[in-house]
Amino acid sequence: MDKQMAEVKIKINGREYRDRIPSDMMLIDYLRKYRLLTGTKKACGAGECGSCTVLLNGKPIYSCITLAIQASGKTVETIEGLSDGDELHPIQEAYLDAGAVQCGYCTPGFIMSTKALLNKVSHPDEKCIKEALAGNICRCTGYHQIIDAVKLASEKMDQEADINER
Amino acid sequence: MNVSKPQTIDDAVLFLTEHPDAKIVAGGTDLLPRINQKLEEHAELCYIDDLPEMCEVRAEQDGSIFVGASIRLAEVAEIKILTKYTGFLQAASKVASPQIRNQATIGGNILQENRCMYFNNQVPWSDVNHCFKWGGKQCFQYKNSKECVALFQSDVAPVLISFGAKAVIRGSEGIREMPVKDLYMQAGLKNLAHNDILLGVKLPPLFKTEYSAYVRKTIRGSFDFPLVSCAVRVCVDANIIKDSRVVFGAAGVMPAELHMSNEVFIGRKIEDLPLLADELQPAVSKIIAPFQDTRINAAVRKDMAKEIFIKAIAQICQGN
Ligand SMILES: Cc1cc2nc3c(=O)[nH]c(=O)nc-3n(C[C@H](O)[C@H](O)[C@H](O)COP(=O)(O)OP(=O)(O)OC[C@H]3O[C@@H](n4cnc5c(N)ncnc54)[C@H](O)[C@@H]3O)c2cc1C
Ligand code: FES
Ligand code: FES
Repeated sequence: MDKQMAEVKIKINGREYRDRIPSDMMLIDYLRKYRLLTGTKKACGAGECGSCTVLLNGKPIYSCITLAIQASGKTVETIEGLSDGDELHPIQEAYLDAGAVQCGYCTPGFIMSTKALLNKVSHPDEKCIKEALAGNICRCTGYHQIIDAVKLASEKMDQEADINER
Repeated sequence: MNVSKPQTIDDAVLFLTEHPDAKIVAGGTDLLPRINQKLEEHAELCYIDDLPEMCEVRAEQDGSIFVGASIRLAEVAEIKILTKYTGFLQAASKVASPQIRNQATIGGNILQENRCMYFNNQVPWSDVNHCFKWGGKQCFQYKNSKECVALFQSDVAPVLISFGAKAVIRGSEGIREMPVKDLYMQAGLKNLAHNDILLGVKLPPLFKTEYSAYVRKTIRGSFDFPLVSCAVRVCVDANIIKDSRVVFGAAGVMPAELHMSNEVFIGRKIEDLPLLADELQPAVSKIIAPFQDTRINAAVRKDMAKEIFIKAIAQICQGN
């Protein structure tokens, strides 16, 4: 059987893309191979680790078990959408400052889950942070630093909002 | 593999009728991991989403509530008219992880495949010792079993059954309804034709005073399948129990109902529930299949079932 192609129209990090791709392509492969957005990492490929987390219409999902056509007509945010040129996003800074990055493989996924959480709740308590990050696994840090990073990110985003208001 | 996306429900039924090998995919969180892991192979998928008939939640004239099959698990908590279906909210909120709940549908949850460590650990290129689920002639769980006994671990199905929910199905002959519990057959098969599409589920109106609870046992606090789970629903009038339903999940090839609960509960006072539940413990043990996985053995699963049954009853009493 010939490989069926599909048209997708996806807004990624604020820019709209139209592509003709194999209909069975996973979103992560589309992002990495077609859009060269290699910040999103694949580890398990089975929805079990969270390293491939991206935001689909603002909500975290696993791009390794999502077909690219499932994202068609929707918006996708990836880790590349966070920094502004060389300027890191406060969440990225917070992860570095809190020592929440070791090998770094899980980090883009954790940061996207953190982004979704802080978009919804600006000052999450520890329980809320743990619930929001429950779908991301880290084999290096031991999680404490990650929780600290989320709290720090929430403070940094406050400060930034203050500055913007002035 | 080719993936098609029919634009209307009629087109979808037609597509499935004309493509007998096509498999339905909704959220994909159950099916796609197995495809990625090469545990399953399909030449064609029929992707079902955004079909208006399946995205609705509405109160019907008779007071029941229709919940579309495409509703995401994460959305359930936000739907006002479902607030009092406590067990349903609890179950939907406990599935896997936030990412999965954002993507996974109600329909896919109650139609998910059964799971078994012997299936997951087989390699397709090996041509020896395949189990039934791999097309072989044996079951490694029970050596004498004549069919697959893989575990059905849906969190949502047991609560829907406890509420007496109906499945609304669109097939080539039109729309029909059947109790959710009748969807499940031996060997993990579903009571649906290849071109049947689950449109949604219908929850009957609530009794004047009723309590429900869903408790599950897992190894990790989150991001985990239930080792065993229990949905309890109790209807009360003037402190007297009028009706009840107790259904266990991850209890065997399909959800297992404790039919004896009504014999013991009906006509008794709600305050007596914990004592009455104690009486039922041996019966609980009996309906849990002696299924073993990488984490627990058969005896532990039975003990855990008793423990969560008591916890669910305690929650019901607290809600009272
Ligand atoms: C890491 C991980 C953890 C998980 N943990 C849990 C858990 O704790 N509890 C739990 O219950 N599940 C769990 N799951 C399984 C799965 O994510 C959920 O059951 C989910 O709700 C499936 O929904 P879906 O829409 O993604 O299903 P899909 O994968 O799209 O479909 C599942 C099955 O249902 C069929 N189907 C779907 N919709 C329809 C329809 N409308 N009509 C007819 N057939 C249909 C499909 O053909 C397929 O066979 C887990 C999965 C993963 C990967
Ligand atoms: S790579 Fe997607 S969840 Fe692990
Ligand atoms: S930093 Fe290595 S897995 Fe998280």
